[in-house]
Amino acid sequence: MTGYHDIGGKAAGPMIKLDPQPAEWAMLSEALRNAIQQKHRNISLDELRRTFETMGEELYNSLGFYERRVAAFARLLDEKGIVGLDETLARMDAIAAARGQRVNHAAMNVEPA
Amino acid sequence: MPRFAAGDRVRILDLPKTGHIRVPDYVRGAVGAIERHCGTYANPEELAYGRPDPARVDLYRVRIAQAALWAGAPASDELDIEIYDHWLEPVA
Repeated sequence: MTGYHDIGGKAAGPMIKLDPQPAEWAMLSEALRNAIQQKHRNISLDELRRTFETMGEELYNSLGFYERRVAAFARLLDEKGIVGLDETLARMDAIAAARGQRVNHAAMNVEPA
Repeated sequence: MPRFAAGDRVRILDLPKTGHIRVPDYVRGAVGAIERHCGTYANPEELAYGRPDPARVDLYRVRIAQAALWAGAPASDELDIEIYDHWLEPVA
């Protein structure tokens, strides 16, 4: 069974060489993920990958590397009863409001309030 | 005791099943040789579904001629890839 994520080794044209510095939120999300994994020991990297490799091709391809990891992690935290998805979304709303912004959850982006 | 030793010829299985099998499409069915035993680790197929106490499985580095994977690759080029024991079969 070949998943939509399994694109290694296929013809893809010339290599584009970039060395982007991850955004602060991206590094923080990885730190949080590692801290929670150390504490709970029940969300492995394999489970995270399984989750974003089954989120659907369209969503997978519309999200960046750290975005799909965060989306999958929020889903797993909810599934395992560690942090409810409603809590995560409410916290996103509170953080955005404090910055004079609002989260458009349907469009998966942040807008001016 | 690991099933394979360095130099043993193996085929990477193209398993007709769902689940979290970390074998990239481009090496499925490829034949290579064991380069080394890399240790024993929790089975990703179990880890991916959060199962408690996953089985430990031998992991091997498998060396494959790139010409066997991609047409036109130089004969001297090789690919090393790490594959778990239960995703391999021996080749006589």
